[in-house]
Amino acid sequence: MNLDVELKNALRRVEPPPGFADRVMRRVAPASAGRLKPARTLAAAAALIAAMLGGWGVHETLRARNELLVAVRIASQKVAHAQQEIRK
Amino acid sequence: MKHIIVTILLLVPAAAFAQSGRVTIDIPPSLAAKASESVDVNLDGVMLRLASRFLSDEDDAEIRDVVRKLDGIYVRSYEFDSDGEYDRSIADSVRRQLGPEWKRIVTVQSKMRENTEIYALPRGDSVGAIVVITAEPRELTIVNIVGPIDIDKLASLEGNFGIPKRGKHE
Amino acid sequence: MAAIAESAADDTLARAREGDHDAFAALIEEYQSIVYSIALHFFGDRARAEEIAQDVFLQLYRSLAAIQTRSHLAHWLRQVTSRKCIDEVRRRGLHRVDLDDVQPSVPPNSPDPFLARRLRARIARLPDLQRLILTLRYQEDLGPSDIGRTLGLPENTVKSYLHRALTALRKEFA
Repeated sequence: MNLDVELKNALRRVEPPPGFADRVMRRVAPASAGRLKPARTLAAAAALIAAMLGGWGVHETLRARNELLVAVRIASQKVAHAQQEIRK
Repeated sequence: MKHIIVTILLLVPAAAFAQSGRVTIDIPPSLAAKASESVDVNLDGVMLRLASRFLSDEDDAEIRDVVRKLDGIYVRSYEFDSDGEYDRSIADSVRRQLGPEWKRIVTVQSKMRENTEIYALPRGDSVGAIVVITAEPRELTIVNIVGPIDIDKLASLEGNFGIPKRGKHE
Repeated sequence: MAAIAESAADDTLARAREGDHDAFAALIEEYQSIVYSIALHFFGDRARAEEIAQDVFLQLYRSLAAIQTRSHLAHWLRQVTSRKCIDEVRRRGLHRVDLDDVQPSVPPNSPDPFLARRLRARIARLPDLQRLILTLRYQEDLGPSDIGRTLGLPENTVKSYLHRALTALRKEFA
């Protein structure tokens, strides 16, 4: 047995489950992953126009959306972890 | 006497602030500079409502459901490369703002893992605001959510952030 | 040809730095197996590996401005992934390593499937840092000095850990 060869086999690179890049992009920049339904697209466009009329730019609004997801993710993880520890 | 009056005048706004559910999270700029990773989110009022309108129908429906009635969500989270990079008094300054109407509903303490406290501000039968403080040797996270919040629903969102459920790809 | 491929790849990196999301998605697809596999071989848990891998690419998105070349990118990804694996163990204490999660199929050029499984089981029982160093050595084909640079360890320390890991494995599989 050649241990080096066996180790290269045992520790070879594997691909993550399909759709990994999409899942990352959904967290990074949701507008570029997946599609909005037409009605939702109109609603999003209306919200964007309202934002711009209120003085907020496109990037600001989308950045706020991303920040919201980050904030909710962190909050939910901390609360969930605390609940799990209590259940133990 | 003047000193006492000034102190009282300074304390009253902070107390009133915390009674509304909002706390001041005072982080020195030097701390953020030391962190290897930092998150600083301040979303309230119109910006929060606009941001939530950009959540997609299918994937983020549960998140939107939790967020839609909120008045504000504020997060400060810092990760460091080594232990002891932040002053624990930062968390103390948040705790001091939580008056008797706040209830500490969760305390998780561990030498090896994260220490987490969750405080809730009751509003009738529901929770009007929460503060979560997590202090680890290399991480400090403070979360303040203002507005009616369902803590169990919030915890259940953990599984929503792009992680495939086990069994989906097997 | 190699120079053209290199230039195209650098172009993808440059476009990603400028905010081109398609370019960033292409970078994820190109480097995802490196990141995911380091985490998978460390934890033996696909869900945990995916979580770590996603966090690494999120951090990459925030840090792109600082990354100028492909070789810097590969080094950065290995370094951040390794760091996150170690930090995760510290945060959550001991992790459970599920053997069935590590590799679903028999390696193509290994005649003995049971040998492969036993080897993976033995690797899973190595101390965390030894397992991580072994992964960087055999998965990424890094030498001790590059492993040291990745983990912030002196080269001799890496050699010592590698020696210990290989000695333990040879004892069982020689």
